[in-house]
Amino acid sequence: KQWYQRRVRGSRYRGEVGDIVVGRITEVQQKKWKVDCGSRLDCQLQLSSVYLPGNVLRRKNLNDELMMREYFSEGDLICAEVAEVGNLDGMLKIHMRTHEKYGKLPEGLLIKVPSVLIKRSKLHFHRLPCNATVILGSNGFVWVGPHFIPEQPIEAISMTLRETIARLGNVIRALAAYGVQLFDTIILTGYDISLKYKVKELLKPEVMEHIAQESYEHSQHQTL
Amino acid sequence: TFQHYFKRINLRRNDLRRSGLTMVTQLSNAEVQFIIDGVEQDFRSDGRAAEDYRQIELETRVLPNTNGSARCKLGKSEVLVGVKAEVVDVDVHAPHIGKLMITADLSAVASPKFVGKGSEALENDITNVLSFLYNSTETVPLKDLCIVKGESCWLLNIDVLFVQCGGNLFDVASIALKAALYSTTLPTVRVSGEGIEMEMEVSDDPYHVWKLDVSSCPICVTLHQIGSSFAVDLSEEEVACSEGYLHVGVMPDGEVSSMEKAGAGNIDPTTLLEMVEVGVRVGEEIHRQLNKQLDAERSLAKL
Repeated sequence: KQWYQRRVRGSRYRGEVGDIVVGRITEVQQKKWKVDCGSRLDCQLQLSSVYLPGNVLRRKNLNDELMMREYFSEGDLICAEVAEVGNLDGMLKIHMRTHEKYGKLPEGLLIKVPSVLIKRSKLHFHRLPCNATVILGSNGFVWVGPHFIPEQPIEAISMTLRETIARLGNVIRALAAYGVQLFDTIILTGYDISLKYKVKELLKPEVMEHIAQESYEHSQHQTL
Repeated sequence: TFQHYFKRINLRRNDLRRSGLTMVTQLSNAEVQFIIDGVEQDFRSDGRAAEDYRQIELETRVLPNTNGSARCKLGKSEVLVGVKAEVVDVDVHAPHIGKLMITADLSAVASPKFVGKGSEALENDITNVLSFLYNSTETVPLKDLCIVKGESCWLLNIDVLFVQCGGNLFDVASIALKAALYSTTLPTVRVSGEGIEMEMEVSDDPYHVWKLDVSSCPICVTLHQIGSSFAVDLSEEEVACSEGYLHVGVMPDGEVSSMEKAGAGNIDPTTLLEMVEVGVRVGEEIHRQLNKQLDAERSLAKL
């Protein structure tokens, strides 16, 4: 049997077809956007593979090309799926297959963790029961924010929701700091364990270690 | 009004990119709005209030060939401070006091941006702010550093080396500086004779030393204006959303030793007064904790 070892830190994300990634737009070029996904090369998002406002998928004309920056501009966070992996250079081509989950991300928090820690599963887009959404991008970019539908404006974030988002963010950072693989149940376990601390106490190293350890043990018991 | 703010923040990005103050220079408007709303409601993205610092790690006497040294870690920023003393001629204009020379150095290890001359601008900024902090004779008792009035005095060469840059560089440097001065030991000098026959003997005995009095050493508290509010100890994402910032030099008794406004962007005059008030309050608390930990470390060493 052949074994291989993957480095946790220091290795960049290598995309595969079907991965869901969270990326940041770095450039607006002719008929395509360049997206930073934490891989060796920036990903490409073609104009022909996005839905226009109003959930319309049609052939894009010159007008659409000129309006590209109105749609996604530099700095915006997007959620998309990997369509192709380039043969020679490994450059990823991403697209937005449906309009319900892919698109520009609204107000929220972006946390970068080593991409190795994100387990590949069927679901990467999690609507958690505590009113927050967590998107676990396979490239290690994790987005935490309120429930949203792309293209629709969200309501102002209440104080309780803000606390929830901050708490989830700190729990994810704690798990990532101790190399624990991330998926929705372990994040929820970590969240429940963290409830006895104040949100800002979750930044202390001892507390982070405690949460990571207990969440990991809890998840091991569940699988047994 | 947010559109207006986003335009200003976008213009500031080039300033940030060049200065090296933060490695994060691109954020979406949505993220910026989230951060600003958080600071204005006194609940930031990681749960801290506007006045909360992150955990500070401190260790003194880490460099064996110096008179005093300290290593300080705040968030992702890590700084190493070394104090080396040498006997020099006094300044003609100030013949009865010693001298202090502070230099900041950004290591290329901290960021590829700091290779070669890339770090010069930020290094100058940090050097100037720290030197200004210790500008007055009331901070470090420079009279104690005088060996022979009109002739010789001690010159303390203080080197501040940034090993990792993760935001809030000025504050972490000033805390490490105070800790390094606290740990500084200077050899006793025996002066005999007068005039041309004067002889100075610097003691070789490692136990024949004296410590500096750091009870008036200030630290720098940096407050950034974000939206219509302000905060201390910003993470790199928060710095990318801020405009003007203020360095307040706070002494342990709550006196302000220096104040400097920096950054592209204006600060409201009423906000400025509030910022100084908060800076003094936060600074006093840091001094309290810092002194407690330094004393505890010193008593450990005695055991």
